[in-house]
Amino acid sequence: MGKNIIAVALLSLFIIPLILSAGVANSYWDDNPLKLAPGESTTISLRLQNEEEEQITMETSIDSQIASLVDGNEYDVPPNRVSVPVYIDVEIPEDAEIGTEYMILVSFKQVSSGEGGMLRLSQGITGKVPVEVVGEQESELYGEPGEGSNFVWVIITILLLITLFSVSAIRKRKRKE
Amino acid sequence: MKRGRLLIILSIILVLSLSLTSAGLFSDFWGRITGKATEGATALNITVGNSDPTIPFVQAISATDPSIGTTKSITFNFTAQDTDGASNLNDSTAAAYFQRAGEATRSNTSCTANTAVGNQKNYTCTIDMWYFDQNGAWTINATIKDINSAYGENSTTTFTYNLQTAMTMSPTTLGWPSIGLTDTDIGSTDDPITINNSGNDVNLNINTIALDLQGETTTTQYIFANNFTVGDTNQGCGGTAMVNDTSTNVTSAILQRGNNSLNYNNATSGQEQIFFCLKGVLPGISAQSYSSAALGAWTVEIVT
Repeated sequence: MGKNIIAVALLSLFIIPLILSAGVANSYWDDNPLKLAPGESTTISLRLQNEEEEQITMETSIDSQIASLVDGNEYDVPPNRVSVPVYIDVEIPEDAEIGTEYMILVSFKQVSSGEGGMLRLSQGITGKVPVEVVGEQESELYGEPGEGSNFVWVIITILLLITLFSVSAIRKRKRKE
Repeated sequence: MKRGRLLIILSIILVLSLSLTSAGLFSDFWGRITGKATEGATALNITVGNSDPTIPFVQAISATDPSIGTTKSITFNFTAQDTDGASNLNDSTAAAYFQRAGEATRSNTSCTANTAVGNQKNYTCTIDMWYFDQNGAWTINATIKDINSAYGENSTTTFTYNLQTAMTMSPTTLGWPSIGLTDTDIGSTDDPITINNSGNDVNLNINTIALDLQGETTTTQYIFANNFTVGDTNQGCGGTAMVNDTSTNVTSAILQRGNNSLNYNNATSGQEQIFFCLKGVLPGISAQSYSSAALGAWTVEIVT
């Protein structure tokens, strides 16, 4: 009886999934690169999914001179295909020439102990984000609200205030006349 | 007096001629003179104007990630209009299609009708996209007919189906039978490892990262990673030798996208099989169990 209990306990320690399944969704690929102008920066995301019935942890590393992970390098991915974003800061050097292409390589490796069999396997995925340096008007950020547009709004507000003061001043003069 | 008589006579002639004409005598008389038919059956097509329905609005669909190994339901609305009135729209013909050259069309041919407003009606459609459907721009084609079978269509918009790099692997452990110190080329009892491409990425390389196996009793003894080979043919003993803690490509194993449930174990079904082989062990190591428990699991990775 005692032997049986020990055997069960040992088995439960080594219960491992029969299937491993994970994925990384990406909005950029070879024919659809991230387009940024020299000096521009943005934050993009890759989305992790896990098809297993239990949460997994993915260790992430990035291989790029223009990109870095925003939230560290370990991500818990809940089961049942819930998307977990992995944010990546991308910054194009000021002196980058238009037409330059960068490749951001992002590797995900499931954190897993080696226990549970003579030789246990885990899964890994290496994705890539192609980046192309383009002119400002071709940039993905072109037309988006930014520092430049804030300046424009300040100017517009000042002009509106000047107009209002002028109108009220003219009205006061007319009343006095 | 003469004028009065003349008027009376003219009035009588007019009344008589009208009555004769209305009785058809005059036309018959004319027909007899000319020989032309004065009456006959004629088919008449009278077209009562019917306006074709139109689809003035299709809701934008944001870029969508595939769901690994299954379908992703995408729900959107479109508005159909018929200037003859919304009641002229045939709800049962409201349909939507996602189309892309070279790809199977995904569709919903029974979109749900919502309440009509004026001569417009809103329809809700849900279309399932598969994990292996190609990434890129897909055309949204919304169609409807009216009760007179006149047809309206809008295929001016697209949505982006994102890239998904994903894998499903089974089994997840490898074992070997008990071996002697002089045995060579022993395939794992768990071969092959089947890897499904459960996304829509293509031309994926398969790499493995192996680690030395440590003795469970005498922990100073190892079966080294480079005692193993991996390949995509039976047993894998002619495959590539692995290097400890180094990503090693499984030569000629390439994952394509496909419907895994076909289970062909080839590119069509988006599958690859890899085999692990123990080429032999160093002479002099002791008889005991060796495992990955101490130094960690091996990694099978897909690389874009």
